[in-house]
Amino acid sequence: MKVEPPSRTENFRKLLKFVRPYAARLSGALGLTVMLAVLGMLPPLIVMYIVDEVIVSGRWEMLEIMVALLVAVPVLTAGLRVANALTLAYAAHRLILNVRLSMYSHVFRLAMSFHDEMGTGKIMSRMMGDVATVRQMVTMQVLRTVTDLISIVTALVICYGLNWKLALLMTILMPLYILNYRIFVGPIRTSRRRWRQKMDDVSVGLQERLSGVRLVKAYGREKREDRAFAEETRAGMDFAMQAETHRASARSGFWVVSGIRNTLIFCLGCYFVIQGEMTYGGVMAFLAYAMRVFEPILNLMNVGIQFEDMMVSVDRIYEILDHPVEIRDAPDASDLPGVTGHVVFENVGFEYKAGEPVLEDICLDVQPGQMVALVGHTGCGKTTLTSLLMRYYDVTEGVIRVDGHDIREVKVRSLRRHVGQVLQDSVLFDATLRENLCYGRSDAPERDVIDAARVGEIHEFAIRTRDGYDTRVGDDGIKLSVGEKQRLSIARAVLTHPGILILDEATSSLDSLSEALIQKAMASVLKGRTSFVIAHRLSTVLAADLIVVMDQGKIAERGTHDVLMRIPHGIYRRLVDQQFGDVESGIAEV
Amino acid sequence: MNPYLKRFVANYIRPFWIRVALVMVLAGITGSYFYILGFITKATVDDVLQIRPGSIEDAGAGPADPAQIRPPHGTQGQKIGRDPQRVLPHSWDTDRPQPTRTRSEKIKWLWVVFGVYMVVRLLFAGLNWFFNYNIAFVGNRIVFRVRLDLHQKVQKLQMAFFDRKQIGKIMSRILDDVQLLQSEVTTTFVETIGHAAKILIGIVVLLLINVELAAFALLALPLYVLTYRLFQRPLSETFARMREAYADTYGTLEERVRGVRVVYSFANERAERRLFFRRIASIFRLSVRNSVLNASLRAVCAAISAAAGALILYWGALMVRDGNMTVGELIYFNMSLSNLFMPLVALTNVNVVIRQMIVVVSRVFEVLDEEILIRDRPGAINLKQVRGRVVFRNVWFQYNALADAVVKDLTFSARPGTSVAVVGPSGAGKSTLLSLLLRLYEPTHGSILLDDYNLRDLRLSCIRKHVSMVPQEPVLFSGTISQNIVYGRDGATPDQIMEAARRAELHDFIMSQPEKYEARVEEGGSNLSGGQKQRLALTMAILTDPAILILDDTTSALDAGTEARIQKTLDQVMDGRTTFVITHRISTAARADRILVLENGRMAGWGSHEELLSQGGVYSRLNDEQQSPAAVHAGLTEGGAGGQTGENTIN
Repeated sequence: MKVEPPSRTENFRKLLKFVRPYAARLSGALGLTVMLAVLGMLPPLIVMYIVDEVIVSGRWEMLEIMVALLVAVPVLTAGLRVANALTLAYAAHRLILNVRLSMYSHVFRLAMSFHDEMGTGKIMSRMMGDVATVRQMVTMQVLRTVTDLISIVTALVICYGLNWKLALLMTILMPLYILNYRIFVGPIRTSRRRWRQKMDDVSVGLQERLSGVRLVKAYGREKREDRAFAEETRAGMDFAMQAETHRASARSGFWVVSGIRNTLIFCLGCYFVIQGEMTYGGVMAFLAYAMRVFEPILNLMNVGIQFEDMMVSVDRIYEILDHPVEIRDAPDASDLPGVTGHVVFENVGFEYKAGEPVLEDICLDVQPGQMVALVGHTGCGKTTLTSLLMRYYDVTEGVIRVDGHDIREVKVRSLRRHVGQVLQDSVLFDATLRENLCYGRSDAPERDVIDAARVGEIHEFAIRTRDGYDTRVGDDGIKLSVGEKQRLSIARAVLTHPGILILDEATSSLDSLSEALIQKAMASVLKGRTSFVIAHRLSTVLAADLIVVMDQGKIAERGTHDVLMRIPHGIYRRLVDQQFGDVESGIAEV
Repeated sequence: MNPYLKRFVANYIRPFWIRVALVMVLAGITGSYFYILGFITKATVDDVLQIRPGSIEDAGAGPADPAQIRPPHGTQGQKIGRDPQRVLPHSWDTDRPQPTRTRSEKIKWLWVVFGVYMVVRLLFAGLNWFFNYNIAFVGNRIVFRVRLDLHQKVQKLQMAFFDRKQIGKIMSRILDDVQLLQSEVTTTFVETIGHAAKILIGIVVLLLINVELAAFALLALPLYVLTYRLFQRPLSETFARMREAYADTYGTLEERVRGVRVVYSFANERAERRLFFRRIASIFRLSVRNSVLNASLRAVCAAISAAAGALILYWGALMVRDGNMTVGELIYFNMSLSNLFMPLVALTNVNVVIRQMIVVVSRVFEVLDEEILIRDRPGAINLKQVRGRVVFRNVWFQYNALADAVVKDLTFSARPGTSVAVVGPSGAGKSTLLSLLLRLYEPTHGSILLDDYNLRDLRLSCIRKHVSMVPQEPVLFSGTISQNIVYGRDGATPDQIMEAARRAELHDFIMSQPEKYEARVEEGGSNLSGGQKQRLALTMAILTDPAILILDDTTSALDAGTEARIQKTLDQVMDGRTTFVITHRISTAARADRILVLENGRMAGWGSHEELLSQGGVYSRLNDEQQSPAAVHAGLTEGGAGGQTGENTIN
């Protein structure tokens, strides 16, 4: 399950795959930015001409033409900039849309173990925050870097043309910038990385605290949670400040270096003017071009730091995108046709971690339409067994067959469409009752919806609410009671007409009356369907055609209620005794 | 000023007023930097280099003063009897003709220029550090405080708030929106002051150099204002909608990723992809719009300033030709003008950012202004000891004004140390009823008394210290097992923790883990089974040793064996405490001193097991149901034959 982390450059190359579809647009934007960079080079030359030739040398007839040029350049520039923004913004935002969509699709193709490991908060921060960082970098900064390089080279050439001595001096001073960058880049990078890690922690912690707010309140922990949040956030802030301090120093270092440079150029330039080697307009232009050499260097320095940021984000994005899809369709996978419901487990074994088997040597042949009750102590592997049938995980050993097809050889989607599941924790979405009901089958006609709701005993409830089926369910369906949520999720599963149904302790928190009602309804639903029911309540189990008693990952006993009760000291018998013993002692007190 | 912004300044910026003032002063000083450089340039051009405009006859004559070329070291011997300080004031004068300096004089003065120029530049680099540091300092602190306040507020809000809001949406406010406050907004806000200073100083400088030309230059200002006004509305609108789209996306994402099992079990990935695509597509559209609007605004402003600069250069050049201005003054004027326009470009942007800031700030205050409905009233009582008497008096409750009442006119009382079982069909209001006892919600009518004190008169911390609930769906936090156990009681000793775990039948499981009590619990307890989670929650409650204990169907996810063992502990734990037990099992209910039967939020029975049985009604039907599992069996195999109409009337 552990993936060898690929090298950074490799990740970056993979990211280019997303860039490629927009290569045309991006190169268009690149062309425009190059034009903009070149246009930006013109004004100082024009000004130089005006100062030296027009004003000092008195060629006044040229003034109007030069000024007209000086107006034309920025107007043209403005037009190009708008065109550039149009091209670039589309490509950039479209690009991140694609990355996010790929991540989203990928996340929902990964095995449950991925979700168990990574957790909601981390997945979210990667999909939102990190992708945004990458967009900034790939689009804006890459283009900017290219124009910066063009600008540096062109301006440097012009500088040598204006006065090679000054230009040489300027070139000699360049290593000072690199030195300044080298001194600060490390510390800035380190503290920024720490800051990001800290904020990641903050985000994860916050998500937990908010979804567990009931517990926080029940134990009166609000103040302590505030303190914990404050501590984490403060640590984050300290790292951010560290980075900012280094950054301020780096900037000031830059200003010192450019201060020295400008002073030397200006004064030496003026000296050359006195000596008659240069015109003053030339000095002005030289200073302007020197800025066009060095400002891009400042940008490049920042780009270096941001590039580091981006690489971290790219790595985090690929941590998701590269996570192998363990559960995937075989190349020749076919759709599972209509299911009769013949389920066979052949010597199935499973382990989450190598060497720690959760299930061992499970053999089970379930005939179409049979109801199988899975019973056993907590943690004996009942839920895992059904997860394997849903193919949330792949078996480590053996084969599971549905209607004779190895489930690894049919399309996952068609398998899951045919196997309905009612989960232990009923998860509902922030949507209307109807939308929740129709979750597995969005085009279900009204009649089917109501029928399914009746089966789940939720119809009466639904029509009593204010907006009927259009009533909204709060975040995670918190406004419904647990029983209502479970009934809704039963109805939701029923609506998809699955050939095989898995009920995972779904009835455990219903009172026995609603449970009886649901079971009555389920009886008709289960008819003609293979079903696996995990229930701790033996009354549910009594209705089963086959009872499978599990113990420590193995099938310990199997048979009907009557057969199993006859096994002396059997596990099943003990379970039943405990259950009914309770009831009897309760009655004895009467 | 926008009221939200005013409050933001008062609450979050004012505490840092010293630093903010410092930043403003620094901004003013750094704002005048370029004008100082410009002035030095002007002095150099006019008084050191002495560059003069040429007449038409000079055209093609080449550089000025070609005859004066001399070796540079010939300067020492030449004394100039002029006070150096006179040079600068003199340059403001308009009387033009000055004695032409010799080359060595010029070089001598160039050294002075060199010194001044270098000092100004280095001084600025230092000031710049303080400026940047303080901006970052203030920005970070503000973000920190806002986050803290939001967190504090959210923690204080009643459960009803969380029922309404998606967690992802709340998170996007606390983390992303607030980050925006720093990265874009606060920095720009503080920089605005610097820009304003630059503009004011710039206008004064322009007027001092040449009033006529300055008047021309200032004519460009209305164009700026107009452009800005044109873009302002669509920009702020787009920005607000973009934040909204982000919040929606976060909400969907959080919900779906958390509910991934449901998505999988219905193989609904394609529909989810479509939904997510719709969400991010709206972000896409709005982002493109925002980028283009921003770029256009900046492009137009830049074009205006550049074109205006060119025209000014034209007028200025003519004035120089006619002798109304020196060359240095023209250069100085143009340098100052571009310094004036640069902050103007930024300022138009700042106005947009302030709009954005208002959006962000109002989203922050929207949460901060959320009314805390459940809070300590002034002078709320803190009970040291609670005996455990609980009285419900005509209690009504509805989640919101639109919904039906969930609890209807409920009156009963529980004596200290007794146990009350709450039974009834799901949705009868059992869990809600006991949430009221914890004051997670407030009764709509009626009152709940704890030891003869109205809950509303007690401190929340007091209620929650003495009342503990083991929820049906346990909530666990990522951390170690022991961190989770001590959640309700910091400073518990390892012995106490172990004792509590033993009583909840969890100790053996914990000891079977390689890291024992330091074993990791994943987010939401995903690496534990339902039964283990419930026992962990029970351990937490036992450790806090409350006077009143609420067990919300605590044993539902346990298998019968574990339950039988736990039942004994529960009996011990319940001893001497007032206990409320929500249960579906008659066997559990029968053990309680009193049984409260709920149906549709109303009391449908109250009394002991025997009393209720003798009365008939809902309870005895429930009892019959569970006494003979065969009946259920029959019902199932017969496929819901007609004989069970009695049950149908109940639900």
